[in-house]
Amino acid sequence: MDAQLRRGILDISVLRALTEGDSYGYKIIKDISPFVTLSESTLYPILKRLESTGAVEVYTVEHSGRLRKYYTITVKGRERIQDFLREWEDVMKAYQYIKGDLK
Amino acid sequence: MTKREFTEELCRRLKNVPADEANAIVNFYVESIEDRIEEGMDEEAAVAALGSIDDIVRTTVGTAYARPETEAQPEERESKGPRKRDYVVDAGPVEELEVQEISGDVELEPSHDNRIHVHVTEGDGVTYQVTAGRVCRITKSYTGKRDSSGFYFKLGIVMLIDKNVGNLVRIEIPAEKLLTITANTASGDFSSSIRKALGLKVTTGNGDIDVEGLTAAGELSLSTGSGDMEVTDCAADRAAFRTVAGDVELNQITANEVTVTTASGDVSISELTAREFSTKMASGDLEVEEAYIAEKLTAASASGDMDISLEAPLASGSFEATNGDITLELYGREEDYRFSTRTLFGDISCPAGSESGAGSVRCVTVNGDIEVTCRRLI
Repeated sequence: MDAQLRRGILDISVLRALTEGDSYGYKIIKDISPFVTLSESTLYPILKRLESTGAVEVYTVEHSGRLRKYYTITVKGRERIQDFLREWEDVMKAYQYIKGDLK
Repeated sequence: MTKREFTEELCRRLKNVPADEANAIVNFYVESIEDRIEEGMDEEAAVAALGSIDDIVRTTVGTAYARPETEAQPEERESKGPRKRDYVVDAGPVEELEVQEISGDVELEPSHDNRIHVHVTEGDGVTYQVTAGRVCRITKSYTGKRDSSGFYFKLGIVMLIDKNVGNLVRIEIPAEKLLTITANTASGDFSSSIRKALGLKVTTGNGDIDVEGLTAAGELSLSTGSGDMEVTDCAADRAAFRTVAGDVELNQITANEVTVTTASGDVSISELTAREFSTKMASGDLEVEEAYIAEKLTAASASGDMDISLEAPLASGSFEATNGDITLELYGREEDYRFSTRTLFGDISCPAGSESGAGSVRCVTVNGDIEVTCRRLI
């Protein structure tokens, strides 16, 4: 898959996982693994990017004697998902057209 | 690998990343290891599940800029005059090195440690960007608008770039690191004293190229417009040397295939060992001595002279000079060769050879003389 396209989809998939509630690195990977394959080394730059663009916020919670970073989706992050879905309506229309043409 | 070993190795690999960012990266991965252990996975498996440290370093800091190690004076943005800088890049994940210069010289040399150091002088109007990751790319940029006369404009004021700024990129590469290296400079010179590379490709406009002591696993490709080229004690799989107006001097070159192309430059070669050697020249002279060419030698020149002396039997040779003379000293007895010579206006002096000779030699000129001799085996 085209790297930029893949990156865009991964960003939104991570945001989507956070709409189910605040989450942390390993849980995000587990939650989206049935749909999207993702490793820690891919997730880290995504979370950093989402954080720096204001789509997620980060807070730290103590968990069994250690610290765990939680990510929460912001209003801006939810808007990103909506933008993505709108854009993809156009993409899907084009997809249907291309697919239909190839009978 | 245990969690502790993983943490230590990752910290070591991130030592050029600013401390708080490095901490955030390490904590992120340690958290995942602990989450997996908590779920019942054993420690080694939890570490292994993260993938290779190379990948981690590549993806997490791959796009980050290398941090200059020296001179972090906070007021530098407004300071006047040239500033020497040393950009330090962790050599681990780097596979390719790319240098984009314009007016400055480029020098490659062995590093004193395991890291890549990029030494430059920045100043008003000139900065460099150095990326880390799989590709270490060194790019010069002019921060003001610059015209062809060397002036640049900043806030509408015409300024002249200090001649000590941006005049040299000196790159130190760890001795055992094998990189694919590409370097371009328009008016600067290029020189290299590194010992090993996967490949080296250099292009200059009018700068000279000087390479010494390099073994390239793949291709060595050097090209200049009007600069001269001097290459000594180098080995490569394929070696290509191109100039338009510059001269080429090659000493102690070993390669499978060697090609030399010039328009008006002279070519002087000594101690060449190659399976195949071919050269194409317009008006320069060609001088080859002590050459060991096993299979095929092709030389073509429009108006230059050729003077070639071989130290090993030649399987197939073709020499064409339109207006120049061909002087050829072959290794072996004349019966070892089949000769074919042709000229329109020149003189020919060539042994008879033998129809059963193993080697074939063909010489053609229009106006030039042809002189072929065979040196007897001792």
